[in-house]
Amino acid sequence: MTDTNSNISNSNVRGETSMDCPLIGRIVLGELDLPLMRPTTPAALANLVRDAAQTQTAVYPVGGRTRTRLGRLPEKPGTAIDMTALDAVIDYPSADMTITVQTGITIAKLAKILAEKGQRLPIDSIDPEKETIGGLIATNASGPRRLGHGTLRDYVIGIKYLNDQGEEAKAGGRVVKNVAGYDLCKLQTGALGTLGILTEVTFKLRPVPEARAIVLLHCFAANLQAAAHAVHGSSTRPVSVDVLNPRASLALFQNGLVNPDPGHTELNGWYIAVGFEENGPATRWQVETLTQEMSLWKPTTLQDGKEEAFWQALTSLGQHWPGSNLSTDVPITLKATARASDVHYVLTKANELGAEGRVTGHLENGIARVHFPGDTPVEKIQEYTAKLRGLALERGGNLVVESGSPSHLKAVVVWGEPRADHEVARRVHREMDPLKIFNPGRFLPGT
Amino acid sequence: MDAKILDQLRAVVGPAGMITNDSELLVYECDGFTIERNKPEVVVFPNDTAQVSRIVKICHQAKVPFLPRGAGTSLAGGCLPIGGGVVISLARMKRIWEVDSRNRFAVVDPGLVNVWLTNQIKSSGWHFAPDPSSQGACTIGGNVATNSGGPHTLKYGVTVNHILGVEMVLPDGEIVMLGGPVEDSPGYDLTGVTVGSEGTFGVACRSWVRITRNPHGYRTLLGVFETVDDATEAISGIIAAGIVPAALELLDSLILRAVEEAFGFGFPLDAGAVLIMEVDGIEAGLDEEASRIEEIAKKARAREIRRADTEAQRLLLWKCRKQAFGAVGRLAPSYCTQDGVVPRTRLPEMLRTIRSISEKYQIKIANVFHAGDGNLHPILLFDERDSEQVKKVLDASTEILDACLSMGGSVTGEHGIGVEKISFMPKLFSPADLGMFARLRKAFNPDGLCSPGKMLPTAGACNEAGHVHTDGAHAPNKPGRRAAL
Ligand SMILES: Cc1cc2nc3c(=O)[nH]c(=O)nc-3n(C[C@H](O)[C@H](O)[C@H](O)COP(=O)(O)OP(=O)(O)OC[C@H]3O[C@@H](n4cnc5c(N)ncnc54)[C@H](O)[C@@H]3O)c2cc1C
Ligand SMILES: Cc1cc2nc3c(=O)[nH]c(=O)nc-3n(C[C@H](O)[C@H](O)[C@H](O)COP(=O)(O)OP(=O)(O)OC[C@H]3O[C@@H](n4cnc5c(N)ncnc54)[C@H](O)[C@@H]3O)c2cc1C
Repeated sequence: MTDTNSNISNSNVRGETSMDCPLIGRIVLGELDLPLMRPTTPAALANLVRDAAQTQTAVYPVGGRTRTRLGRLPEKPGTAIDMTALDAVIDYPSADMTITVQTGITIAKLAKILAEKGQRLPIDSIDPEKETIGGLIATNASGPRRLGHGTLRDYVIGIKYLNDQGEEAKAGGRVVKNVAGYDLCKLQTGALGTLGILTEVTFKLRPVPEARAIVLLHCFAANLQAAAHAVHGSSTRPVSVDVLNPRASLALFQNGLVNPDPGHTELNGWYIAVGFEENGPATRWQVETLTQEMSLWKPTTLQDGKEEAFWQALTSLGQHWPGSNLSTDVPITLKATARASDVHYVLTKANELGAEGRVTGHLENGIARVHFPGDTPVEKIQEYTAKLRGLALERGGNLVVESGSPSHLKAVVVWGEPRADHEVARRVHREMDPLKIFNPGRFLPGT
Repeated sequence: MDAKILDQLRAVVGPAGMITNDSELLVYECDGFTIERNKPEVVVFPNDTAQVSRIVKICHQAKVPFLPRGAGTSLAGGCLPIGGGVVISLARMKRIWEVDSRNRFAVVDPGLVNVWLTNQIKSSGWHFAPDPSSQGACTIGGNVATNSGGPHTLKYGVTVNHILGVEMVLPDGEIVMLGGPVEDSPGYDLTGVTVGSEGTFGVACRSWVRITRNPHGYRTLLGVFETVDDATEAISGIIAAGIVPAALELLDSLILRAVEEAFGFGFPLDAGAVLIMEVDGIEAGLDEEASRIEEIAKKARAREIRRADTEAQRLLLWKCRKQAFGAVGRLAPSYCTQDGVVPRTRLPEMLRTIRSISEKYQIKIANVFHAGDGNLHPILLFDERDSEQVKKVLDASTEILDACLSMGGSVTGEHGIGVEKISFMPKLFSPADLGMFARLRKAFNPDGLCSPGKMLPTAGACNEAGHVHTDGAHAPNKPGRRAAL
């Protein structure tokens, strides 16, 4: 770190460390080395925001810090705020199937509390032990089961956040149906913390399904489209339809979870994983039916907990690379989108272009992800990203770099091609964070 | 209105595309909320997005207020033209542009009547999930503007859960596409926050809507209960058992009588309440769910549980439910529907409260509502010509909605704030909350010309001079602000 950086960051910690807001260390965000404060009360958090407003500096909330490196690089010195002390359950009227929590709570802790009542928030996440609800909402994270259950925007029914004055503001409420006021729950979800610091959220919940299973199908690049088409035409109603290229399959199967083709150690070909969650009879019927409908594609069934482990492993597929040093090598993840009917094309091209990439996709949602190890050369990622973005754009989609080291992120267009509504988005941001206090620089250019 | 402005508008829509004479304008002085009225100066009927844009530009330049209008079924006064001005009726824009079942979306015009989309696609196995009871009349543009719900939104979600993108004409006339058919496009969820903005962010033109596969089958049960309390106990039981029914609707004895007279379904007239309980999905799983529901209902002392055995019976049952408001005309000359929400477990208490309010004011109140969501629709029966009754109805409504708030609920689950419930906003939201809403509105609608006087109280009402922006000269103290004051 250069002198200038640390000078700037020191000068912003006005109150220095205090009982309800200790300075717990420093953190590097992008190329800034920032003091890391850990407020233990909402009031202390609000003070930090007010300080930032007064000193024209910035605040960078962090949760589980699983993804603090993503997005564009922070552009303004300030304070990083560790949100994990604010992790209380405010209210859990389980019979109403809603819960209100502070946003520093981890996904795993929340899931455990809900499971005791047979309930859940059906959102897949990469690293539930570490990730916080705040981070999840800010990044609008999702996984395979978004096909059946939707994404966070379908579950956040109330939200509290700190605005640029350090005032707590809210939208929505604690009931499952409510149209009073503008739906800032939607606006804040996926805003990467650029419109305020999320402090509290109310979710509507779902019951844990009685039964689940995944049917794995095998195909090759050449007949991926045909297989995808056949699954689309199935009379079953899957909650997830995912595809894995040979490298992704290998990575997933090698961890011992499952090997659908035990005769072969060198796995080849692609796999499609079709998931079901329903009551017992409906799940059984769907597994049987899909197995019959897709008998040409070597169906095998995962159940008894293996399906859950599969979904989890698939969601975090970009995280683990043999021989890579996680503390220095930040894995690289690209997400390309397209119409669902075209995504097979993006997937096979992604596979051809970048041989060492793990390519996966949510087939029915038109989403493809490519994961590379963190030591992949910058120029390679740059070239690859540009090519893949071109392909995605031709098919009505876009490409976002979801993870990468600062040197990788600096070399690429992180948030893809600006959308048609870019100017409106900037106006919204200008109204809600005129001083650029919240995560400045990390999201869309201009926010 | 300046004749020059009328000439400019005429140049866009032609003489047959506008209304300026007083008697015809009467139709546009209010919507389903009839307590407040104000005539617009002109109604225009554009044929396409480009015309909408030109109309809005004319209004923007001349600083004339304007208001989008669908079918006018709003129950909250959303279509009340505060400050007169121009009503932009989307009634002529009703095309289905595209149905892409492979990618699960359709592109539709704002004036398309909700049920027409489902009618168009049902034979190929699809439907549009949001099904407000008014779906035979209300438009998809109106649904987008109000984030409508319906009986089946319990399982399938409300309108916003089914909107992928909206082509908007912003209040300065610019046409901009928010979102679109491809998921996860990077940037703020402007589509999500535009849905439910009650016409205050601009005119929604074409929408990219999710279409949903029809379920394999249904099991539709009618639970007959001696008392409303028993019926609400069954509702809590079903939700708590982890069942997600497709719909869970309650009708009380007063509304049953009206519906029975209108449709002759064969409802038991001596019942305290009936529950329509429907599950849908994969055929193989339905019987098990239906029998669990039956068990729970019996435990809650259901006197009788009937099954709709044929599709015709099922459709008739739903017709009774969806046209229940219409049947209310048999009970009283006028009615006013509220739309409060409470946490589902508070329903028994809330219905008792409604009963006592009804006794206190001597106003009959019928109940037919989305019970599974805790979304009440108390219908207050009265005679509009009797001003004392009108006052009682307003007071009783306020008391009902205050009770919803004190139970941790909301004053509107699906009908919107409009002008009717503006006075509740400061009760629901703090000055800071409202200040942020006002800032957001300013990003879309800086001059406040588009749908003035809706949803947000003006500065005086919430003491937040710094943040709350008024709607300029058009709003305060003009006709239409009665509910707001
Ligand atoms: C664009 C994008 C898309 C992603 N999509 C997916 C996905 O589809 N599926 C998936 O599993 N993972 C996805 N991720 C990864 C995801 O970010 C992490 O898995 C995780 O959700 C982050 O949680 P965390 O607690 O570790 O947050 P952190 O890594 O600590 O923070 C992540 C971001 O959220 C902000 N943030 C954290 N807490 C708050 C708060 N309380 N208020 C405001 N902002 C806050 C931070 O400032 C930071 O910008 C995505 C990441 C990005 C950037
Ligand atoms: C008998 C009856 C039953 C009902 N049942 C339900 C129900 O079950 N669920 C429910 O949610 N509602 C219900 N409603 C209320 C109403 O039908 C809905 O709010 C509906 O979405 C309004 O649609 P509309 O086309 O009539 O809109 P309008 O009444 O014309 O307009 C409603 C609001 O939307 C705005 N608006 C309309 N079109 C546009 C557009 N294209 N762009 C921007 N703004 C626009 C208007 O300015 C106004 O503020 C019911 C109403 C009646 C009369």
